[in-house]
Amino acid sequence: MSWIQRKNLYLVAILCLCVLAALPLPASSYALMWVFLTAVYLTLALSYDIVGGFLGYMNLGHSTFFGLGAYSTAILLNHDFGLALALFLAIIFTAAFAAIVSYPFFRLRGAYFALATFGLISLMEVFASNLQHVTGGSGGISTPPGDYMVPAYYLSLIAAGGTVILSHFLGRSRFGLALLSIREDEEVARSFGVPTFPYKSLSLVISSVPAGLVGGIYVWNVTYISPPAAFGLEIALSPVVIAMLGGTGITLGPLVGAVFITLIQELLWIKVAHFHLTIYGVLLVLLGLFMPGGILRTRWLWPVVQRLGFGEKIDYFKKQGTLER
Amino acid sequence: MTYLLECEGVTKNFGGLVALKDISIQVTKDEIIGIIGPNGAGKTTLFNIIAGALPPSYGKVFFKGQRISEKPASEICRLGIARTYQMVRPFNSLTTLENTLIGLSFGRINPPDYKKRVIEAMNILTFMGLGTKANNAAETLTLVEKKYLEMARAMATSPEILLLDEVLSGLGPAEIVRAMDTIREIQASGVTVIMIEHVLSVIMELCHRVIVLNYGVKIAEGKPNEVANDPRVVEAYIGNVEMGEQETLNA
Repeated sequence: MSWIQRKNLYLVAILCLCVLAALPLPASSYALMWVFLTAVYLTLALSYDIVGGFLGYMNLGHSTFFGLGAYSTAILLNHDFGLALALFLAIIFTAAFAAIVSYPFFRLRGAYFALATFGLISLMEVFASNLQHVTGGSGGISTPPGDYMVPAYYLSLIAAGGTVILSHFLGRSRFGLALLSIREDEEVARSFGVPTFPYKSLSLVISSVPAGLVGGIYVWNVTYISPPAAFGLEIALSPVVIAMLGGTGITLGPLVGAVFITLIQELLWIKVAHFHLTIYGVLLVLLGLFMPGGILRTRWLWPVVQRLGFGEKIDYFKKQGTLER
Repeated sequence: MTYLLECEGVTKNFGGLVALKDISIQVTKDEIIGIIGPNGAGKTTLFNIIAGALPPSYGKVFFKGQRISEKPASEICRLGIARTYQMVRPFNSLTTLENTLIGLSFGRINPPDYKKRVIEAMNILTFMGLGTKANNAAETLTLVEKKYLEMARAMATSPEILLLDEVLSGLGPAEIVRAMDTIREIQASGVTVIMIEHVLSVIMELCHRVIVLNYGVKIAEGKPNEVANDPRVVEAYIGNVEMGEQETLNA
């Protein structure tokens, strides 16, 4: 097992990147779209995990930022803004929104926080459906058409890669350590000098930026966004499911989870079109039952993860008694 | 003269219950002060108020002449007041080293360089006898080690005042002797120690001054042996002596 080393992991990562960079040459647009969506989901899951995994606050409304990014980019594109400027302004808008909502939301904890954030997406969906003159109402909004697949593909990869790097360095920074301490015991963290409230707000703002960005890239590529696509249940729950499936609180977790989920979904769609959602649901239930800490925290993979220098020294989920049944 | 720490008429009500009533305390530098009193006397509440975990209902707390009773706990910690918890509360899934690093990263003096912080944290852990446990998760430590981790984490914030909430309870006699040495060394390094303790022999031996609380009221203050012979203190701990004698006579 001596080949399991940090530097070999970097080699694998570089190899993967080379393959992904060269992919548009031979691959069909179907394959590109698949990688594109995987990158979008990966970015969403990783950015969700900053608040959900590191900080330990389950933010069920993370897709609000995705939807806001998508809608604001779409509106700006329709007003003849360039893509770069539209994305930039969309990110600023999303981050500002995150900063504002963090104030009331972080007065709540645990299940109450999760419920309130979940309520936020429903609220946004109502807004998007009813502010007809701004958002196009329930019919959605279209952006200038065109074939953006290849540039969008690269943009999504850059966004995903950037989020991986962000999440990785956040995990080892002073700020990341503070988030972990808040997850463990907020009151004690405060008495040891961690300014908990500003840090919680900041973590939500940081997590909103990648989500807003991929929202913008998504709408630019797909050229259409509707309230259910931006604020619906599926996009709301996917980041949470992906992060938990892969393993929360570790950068590698959502990475593994995103690839796994999109692969499974695609395979089921191709092989058993009629039952694909049924089988997908059953699979999630089984995974939740037998791998409660995520794929990375299974008995076989956890030592490997630790050997690579990721993850806590101890199994965070074991502590909560979910693994020992 | 401004005291290092001064509580001025601190009162705390929990609904109708008066947990602390008009407590005034002055602390000068380099003291070891013991706070004793029966269960429910309000000792931990007083610590919570000094450390900023709870706001006082009335009264003020001053640290070096600066009013701190309105400040958040994190800011009070950065000013130089650190505390430990009676029920040990380490960050369970983080390692011993990471637990200490939190104090170092956000305390009064926080070296910006990560490597310096790790070296400093290792020094503190070694001092507390936890050097070999640096990479163990905090939850795998024994109770004694967790108590030392509480102290290590508090010391990592480079405090000027250290509030120790019953760090010695649950320790065996030999461990108590060692812990007392540790506390003396902490005090010798220029940290003022305020400790809540039930082990009276420790208070007698360590503390320069003792404050006795009973039902939220300060009933005595002074040198350990003075306080131990104070009739009010004896009464609070053992009950009314004269009454007891009368009962025996009647019987």
